[in-house]
Amino acid sequence: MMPESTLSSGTEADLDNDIPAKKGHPHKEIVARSPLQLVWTRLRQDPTAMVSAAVIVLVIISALAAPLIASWVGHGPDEQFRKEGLTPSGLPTGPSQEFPLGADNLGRDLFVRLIYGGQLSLIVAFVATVGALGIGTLVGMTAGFMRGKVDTVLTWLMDTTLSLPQLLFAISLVSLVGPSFGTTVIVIILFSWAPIARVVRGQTLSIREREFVEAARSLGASNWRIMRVDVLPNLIVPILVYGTLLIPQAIVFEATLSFLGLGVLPPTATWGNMLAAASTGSMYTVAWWMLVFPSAALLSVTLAFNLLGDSVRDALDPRQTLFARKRRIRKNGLAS
Amino acid sequence: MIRFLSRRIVSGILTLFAISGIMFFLFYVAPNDPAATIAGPQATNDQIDQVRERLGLNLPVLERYWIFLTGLFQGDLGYSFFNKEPVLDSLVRRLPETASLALGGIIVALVLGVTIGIGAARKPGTWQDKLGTTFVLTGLSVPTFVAGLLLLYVFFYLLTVMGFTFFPAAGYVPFSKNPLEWARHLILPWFTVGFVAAAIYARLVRSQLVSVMGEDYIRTARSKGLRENRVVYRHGMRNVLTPVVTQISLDFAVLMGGLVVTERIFGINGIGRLAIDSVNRGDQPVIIGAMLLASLFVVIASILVDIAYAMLDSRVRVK
Amino acid sequence: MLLTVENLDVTFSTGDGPLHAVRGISFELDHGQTLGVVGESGSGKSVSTQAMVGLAAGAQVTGRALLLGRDLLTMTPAELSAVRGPQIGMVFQDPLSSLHPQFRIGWQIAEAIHKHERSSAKNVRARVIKLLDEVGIPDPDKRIDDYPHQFSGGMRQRVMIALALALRPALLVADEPTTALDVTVQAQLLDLMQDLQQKHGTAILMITHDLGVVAGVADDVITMYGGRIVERGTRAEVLGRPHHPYTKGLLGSVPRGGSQRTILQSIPGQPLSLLIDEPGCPFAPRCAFVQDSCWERFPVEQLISPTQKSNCVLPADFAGPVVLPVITASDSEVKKSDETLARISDARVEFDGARKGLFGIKRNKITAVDGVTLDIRAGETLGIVGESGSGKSTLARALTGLIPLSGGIIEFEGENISTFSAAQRHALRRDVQMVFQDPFGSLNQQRRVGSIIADPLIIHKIADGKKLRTRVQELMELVGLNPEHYNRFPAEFSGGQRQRIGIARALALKPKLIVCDEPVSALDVSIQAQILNLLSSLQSELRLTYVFIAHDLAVVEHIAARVAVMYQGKIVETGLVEQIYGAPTHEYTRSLLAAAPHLDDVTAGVAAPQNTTSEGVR
Repeated sequence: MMPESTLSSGTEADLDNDIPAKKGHPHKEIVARSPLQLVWTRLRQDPTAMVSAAVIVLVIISALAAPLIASWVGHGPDEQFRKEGLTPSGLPTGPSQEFPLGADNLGRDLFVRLIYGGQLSLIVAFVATVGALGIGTLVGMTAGFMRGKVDTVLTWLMDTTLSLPQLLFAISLVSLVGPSFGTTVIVIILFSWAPIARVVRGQTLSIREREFVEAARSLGASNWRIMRVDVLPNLIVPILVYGTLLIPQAIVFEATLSFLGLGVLPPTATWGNMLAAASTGSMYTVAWWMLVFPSAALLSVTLAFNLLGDSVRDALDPRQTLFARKRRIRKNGLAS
Repeated sequence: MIRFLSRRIVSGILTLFAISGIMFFLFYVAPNDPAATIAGPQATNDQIDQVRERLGLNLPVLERYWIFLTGLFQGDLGYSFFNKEPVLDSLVRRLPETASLALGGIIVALVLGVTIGIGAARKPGTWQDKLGTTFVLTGLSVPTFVAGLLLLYVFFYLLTVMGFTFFPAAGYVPFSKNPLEWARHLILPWFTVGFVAAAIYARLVRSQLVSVMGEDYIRTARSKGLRENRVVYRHGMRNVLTPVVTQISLDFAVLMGGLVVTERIFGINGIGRLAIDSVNRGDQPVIIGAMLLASLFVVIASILVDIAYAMLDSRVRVK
Repeated sequence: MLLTVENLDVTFSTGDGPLHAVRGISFELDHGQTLGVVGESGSGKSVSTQAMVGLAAGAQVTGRALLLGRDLLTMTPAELSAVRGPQIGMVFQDPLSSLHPQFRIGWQIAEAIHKHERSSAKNVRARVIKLLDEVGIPDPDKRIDDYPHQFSGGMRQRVMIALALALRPALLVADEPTTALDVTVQAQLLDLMQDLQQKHGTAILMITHDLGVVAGVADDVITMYGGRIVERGTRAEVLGRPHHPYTKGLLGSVPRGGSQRTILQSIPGQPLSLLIDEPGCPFAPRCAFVQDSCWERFPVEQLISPTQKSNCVLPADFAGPVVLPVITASDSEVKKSDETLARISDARVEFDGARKGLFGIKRNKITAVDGVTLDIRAGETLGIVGESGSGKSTLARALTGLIPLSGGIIEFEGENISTFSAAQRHALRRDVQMVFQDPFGSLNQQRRVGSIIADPLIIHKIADGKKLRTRVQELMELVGLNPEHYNRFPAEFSGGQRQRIGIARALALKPKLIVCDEPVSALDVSIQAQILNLLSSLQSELRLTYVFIAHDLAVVEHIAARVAVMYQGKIVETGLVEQIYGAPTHEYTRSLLAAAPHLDDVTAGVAAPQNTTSEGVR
């Protein structure tokens, strides 16, 4: 028979978090770590993420130090060296002591222009990404949280934006207001906020159905407080992931516009218009460096951002399928 | 089903209306004056006024919009400022080029993307998967124009230098004239258009298939004693189809952008090329026409995709 | 012997190191027998069988699993797929997701037949219709061409059974087959499985966390804990005279008919992580009878009776029935609660349903709560019982003012809450609070526990600064949490602890009425008992009134004084627990009670045979 007293029955005795550490039973102390700290720990162990981050940091540093590098090399980004940079027949010279990555069709230093182009790409991408994330989050959260008519209108706006032939529309816009740095940024924002808003809206819709939002409501929390305290923190993860993936898209968009001559105008160096110069009159057939180096720069930066974004996503969502399934079913509770 | 379709079509028409409105007001009400553009830089004020009157630009805005809209319904997109040709005619004339490019591009994207996606998903974490992921990330990182230029450099220039000329650098041969030549001229453009989209599909197929393979009904299929191939292709892929089909409609607008760039690189005289040229010459009716035509395609495509989606999903089809 | 498992060991490699899910288990199952495998989540009960038939992806499996003399673990994938279907059929937990949503059910069953037998399409179709008829699908010749979403959960599970038994396998593995279903449906399905078993001589390996299910169907029972088998024997032995402290604890945790106002025997603590490979008994940290040797090695199996074995060092005469201590409720306590705290009269809640018309502008109405009238008396616990879709959760939300009523009145302390201004409604939140079902979903994972519990105090501007923290820590202590853990995240707590966090949050405003919506249904039984005991002791300490909503009849009987039975949006019967459970008048209540699994039939049958007849009335 089981003596009654030996089994705990009250609440005082079964504090289920503190089992007294018994002999032969080492207890691992759990340190309080926030979900974001956990992500950071995982990221640090991921070589791909670290290499990508290193590439990005390198590009940022070189962009910041562009004037220093230019003065160290002794070539300005738009300075033409027709004597040193071009052969007597007027063709650009290849990589050499003087021009580490060769010269372009106007005898400018490709290396210096590449670094200035990178500076511009990063600025455009960061400004556009921040703008698009801001607008997208605001619109998406409002639509998802308010639902009803507000949602219908905002969703329709998103869908319409998404169904616009982006590049064609961008081209016509640029033809109206004229190409410039500002136009480029605005055009990129105009076509990048909608996908974010869509993602954020979807997330918000599902978050607002979660029990903790209902719990907050049952406590008497205002809509504004629920959005701020309960919804937004849960959106940070998808926003973060989307943000890292949006930067390379913005870089590509800017390069494409510049390539078509509708972005930032020459002589200001951008990777896009450098490549345009390479393709005009098939320059690349006589000066491969004009094609290869800007392509490589563009690719390595976008690839680094994409790889980093992918790693961030993996770190945020370690697939623990073994347990995830059980939990899902218990949560769903009764069926039929 | 019918209710779903009718809602879809109404919203599609609304979208087209909105786009036509935006385009009209941007171009004809915006501060710049098309009459001045047409009359040319040396025109006197009188000449500009004449042009304005001839084009009906002196009428009230709403009336002009009404004329513009009724014109649209009759397929009248106006006349090109540049060569006075009806806009619709110049668009239709260039349609075959663009359509050939788009169709091949989508096929390349789907075949490449789905194959790579399945390959990667079947063995998550192995070298096949890593190879697939590399392809996906490269594809997502390369701007279409860089892909095009590099393809051109490698397959046209380097091969030619090595004495092997197969791929032409540019040009277009109509299908009706010589199907083989048509294809030969379009292979590089197709891959240029398809490469980036293929990456999107590969990623989508991989992630969807991996998550579907973790579903309970896949376990059921295995518990019936089905072989792994049948489990993957019959039971797994059946449920991956729907998100892939949905993605096609989302990508259509992006694909259009790829066409513009590709046409420019490979010297194909399509609608995208026309649009860029018109921008450079300030030929606004043509720009608007190209935009509207492209939007129409996007809207029709997305409605078709939604129908396909509804047909594919038993839960929508059978109530 | 049909199935002989020897020394089965399953390990998964995870990012955090190897996870040793099953640690060398052995058992046997003979033709036509039913073996019940009982255990809580993480005990390894499902993993072991899935690994056995090669369905546990990424598992390293060692040992032997002989089916009719052939080792399943050494088979090639081709050989194994020839066994799955004709020799082993499987039914899984979730009928909603276990059938492919895009294929017709008849096609899905026929596919299994075609895979293993050569037969014409016409013959197979006739066979499938017969199978569907056998598992009780009405109009099988029409429904064969329907899709899974056109069936209810119970019907889908019948289809799954038809699929699993299509090729008349000798062994049916049923992995929590009724867990996701309502009790009445569960009872029908268990009956069906037993009928089919007798008809075809199928052996059933029944994996479940529900002792009631095992009590109903199993011949032999195995108890698993921490990847090991800790006790085995016949059903009567293991449930009636358990020996292992874990089995005893499990039985003591389950509320059952007749246990009203007993104190449930909760097992303290929580299961250890399977990532830690301990040489000793996995139950040792939670065991009240732990001895030094338990930490060093897992005890060898000792014979309790010729058929009962237990892996415990305690002497064999430790085996015996589990008797729950009873608190005799004084009548005065029940009488005191005459004062009405809240009154629901003719309450109706309607939702928008499917769209209709060409453009779908109009919508159908769905009535979730259909004219409910109820009194809630101060200081009492009112249980509301109902199956899924009965509208009980909607009623709970209407009662707390989270959902507006479409008709009728809810009064709280004599005032109609639907006419409240925004400020009044805000103030009402202080008096009426809610405890939610899902311990994972009801806490925001991104916030620290202290801030979650402090939420109501901040919203209602009751405390701030240092006072806030003191109050939060008081609350944590009140619900049995370590107050020093206030800056941890919910993910670091177990399900039971999270439910305590939810309760602390609900208590923060010192409410008069707490509506508990299925507060224990997502928890393992041993943890359930902890929470139920906590709720009871809080009630007497803080003079709380509970409305306790559950689908589990035994849980409600255990905690509530009065009970209302809800069915299709209506209250069909209300009364004292003794009345309703003892002499139900409504037909639905009767069927509900009849369907609920009863442990007592078995446990009482062994412990005190003379009681069986009186128990049988229930």
